[in-house]
Amino acid sequence: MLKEKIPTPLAAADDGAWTSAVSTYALGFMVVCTVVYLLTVSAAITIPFVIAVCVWYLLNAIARGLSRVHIGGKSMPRFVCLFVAILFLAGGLWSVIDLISRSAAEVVREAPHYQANLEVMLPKILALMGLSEQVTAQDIREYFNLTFIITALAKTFSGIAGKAMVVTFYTGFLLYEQKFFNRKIVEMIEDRDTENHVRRILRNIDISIQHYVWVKALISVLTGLLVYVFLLQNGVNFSKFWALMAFVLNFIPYVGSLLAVALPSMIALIQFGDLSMFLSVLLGLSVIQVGFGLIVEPRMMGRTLNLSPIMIIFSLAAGWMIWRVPGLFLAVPILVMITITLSQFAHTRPLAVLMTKTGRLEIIDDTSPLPPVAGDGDAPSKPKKKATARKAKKGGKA
Amino acid sequence: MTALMDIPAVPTPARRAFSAASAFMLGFLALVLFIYVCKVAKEIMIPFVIAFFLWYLINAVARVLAVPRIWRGKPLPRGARTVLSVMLLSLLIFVVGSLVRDNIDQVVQEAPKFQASFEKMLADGAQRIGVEQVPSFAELVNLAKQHMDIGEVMSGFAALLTNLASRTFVIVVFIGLLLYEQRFFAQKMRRMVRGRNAAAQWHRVFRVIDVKIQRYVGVKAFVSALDSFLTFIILSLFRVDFAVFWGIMAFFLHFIPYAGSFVAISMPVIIALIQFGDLSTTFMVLAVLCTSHAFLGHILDPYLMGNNLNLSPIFIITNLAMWGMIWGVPGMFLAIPILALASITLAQFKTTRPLAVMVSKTGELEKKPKHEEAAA
Repeated sequence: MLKEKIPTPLAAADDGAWTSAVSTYALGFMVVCTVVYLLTVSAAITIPFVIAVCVWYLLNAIARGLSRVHIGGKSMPRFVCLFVAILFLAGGLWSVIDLISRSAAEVVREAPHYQANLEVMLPKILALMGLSEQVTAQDIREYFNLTFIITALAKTFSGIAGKAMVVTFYTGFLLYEQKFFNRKIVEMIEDRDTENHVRRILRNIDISIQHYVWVKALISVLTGLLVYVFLLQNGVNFSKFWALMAFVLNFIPYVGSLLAVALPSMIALIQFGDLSMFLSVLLGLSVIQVGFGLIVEPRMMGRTLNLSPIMIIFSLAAGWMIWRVPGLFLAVPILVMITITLSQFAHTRPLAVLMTKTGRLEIIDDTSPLPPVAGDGDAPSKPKKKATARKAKKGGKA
Repeated sequence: MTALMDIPAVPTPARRAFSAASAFMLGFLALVLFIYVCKVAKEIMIPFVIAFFLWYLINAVARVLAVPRIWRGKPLPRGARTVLSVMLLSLLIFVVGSLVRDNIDQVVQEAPKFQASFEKMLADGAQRIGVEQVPSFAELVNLAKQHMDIGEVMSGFAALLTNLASRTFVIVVFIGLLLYEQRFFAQKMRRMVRGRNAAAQWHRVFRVIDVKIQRYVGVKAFVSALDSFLTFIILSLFRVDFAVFWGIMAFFLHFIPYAGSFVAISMPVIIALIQFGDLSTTFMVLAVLCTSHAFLGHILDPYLMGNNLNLSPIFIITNLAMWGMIWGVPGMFLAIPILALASITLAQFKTTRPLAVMVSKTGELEKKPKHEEAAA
């Protein structure tokens, strides 16, 4: 953090360049703080919008996937793809919400009973660990306030459902306007080089985020399935719910995995009242999470995401501060976007390097020529135009 | 627009003065904002700063472990040294932690008893000294009680330590990540700076900062441990109650200059006064504790530190108050390490060097950094 206040290179004072460097860094820092503050203050408005952007991005990604499917040598028209994507996502969301509300109601009903069990068991466990103080018992109770955690999660979901209307509106407008986005960029920037640069950045962001989302989704599905099988075999309650939770929480780095291991283990402990069962569940879930998180995921992510874990933790903290639970899910994608954007300008590149783990900027940099845009002079064929519009626009807002 | 652009870009003195002024003002604003951010984000910043210093301590111990040539004149490999140093330090923390745990309960339990006899002594003293001003003495007793609620002070410490324990998890995670990522730091820095010359310069600067912080953290930890040990020995020789507790407290209080020493001396002395009810023994305890603190603080500490870190007492006190305001009690413990870190870093750059001189006591920042010496 101190680094920000160090005037650039050591002996740059000759031409007074350090003064403008200091001013720029200081102003940049202030602007960043102001933006964070504004986002925090206006969370009620920004959260639905951000969720809408995510939904819109997912819809486009699914639609794009569908458009690659050829039926009788022809791909489906774009609006059909989009329509199917909407149906697909809505169906998926519906079944997920259905499952959550059913299990959540059950969990909430059981929660006080569990809590009571837990409080009976706590002294035993504490004695086993050699802790006997009142203070510690109190502390742990505060830490693992099950009712609180579960109702907070349930509230988050119901809160999202309550905002569904607003989110739907935003998503609709984004879908409607997306065909103009690329044209807008072209019209906004006069200089051809700058325009290409901006469009390239947007495309790189788009590609990286897509990669991140697909790999994460695949790994989350696998994790969820394994967790489901494992919990079912061990006879832990609500195995479907916990599997879903594992799927969802897997999108939150570190903290999510921790919760996905800790919560079912606690439930197992209370349910069976037996330490060996608790330990086996804990061990099994940990093996699943660590296996996917530390071994499978880095392989699959390849070298595209070389973010420093320390920076990820800081961005998680910032995300939590700004948007609470949605912020946790968006922390990494936003960090990816920021890093890619910073890496594209000579003066901000050092900051992008700072975000990486090894110092190597292994971000996707697709330098292939950009497809032309309508009204740009060099009359492109119509379908090509559309594909471009979709791509660049997606990157812009996700 | 065009008129502005026609002005040649040669910096005139006035222009330079203006841009320097804006740079300083903006820097000041950014600094204030940064401090505010520290306050808002204290849940994550405090563990990170603690982890940062502990990480330095681990590396310092690992460096010391490199000294013995174990086999064929070669030291242990780096990884093994780090693991060993982590193990040593966690063993130490575990032992200290269990000692504290055993002692805190006892202290908290006995605190009311001490408070009672303390109040009785105050009242006795009041009667003995003044016959006429009884009401004003009653007020004094009240005042003293308000300011010296021993039970509250002690449970405050206890709460602080439990708070520390609950943050341990985050701190451990940060230390682990810092240890994991540290092998990339040099490489990362090389890639952050364009141009081989500039990179080499930055590398040297960071090397100097790194060595100095390591020495600072190592020396402070060593002297504090010695302080803690001496306090324990002295108090147990005089058979003052809670010698272990005050010995451990002395370790932490050593990181708070002046105020910390004051508490670390006065509290055991008050305990001794109440316990023995005898002025001569109390004075003996006071004198010996003062001597040990003076020796450690004014002779051993500057000697080991090579006098390369002289901080102005005024800045120490104001800085202490400031971090106390920002982060509460943890801030007071971290205030001086942070000030030392800032002064070490600021001293390495030509433009910020005046600031480092400002926070120093004598105005002399030991010898100049090597790269500037070479340039001269």
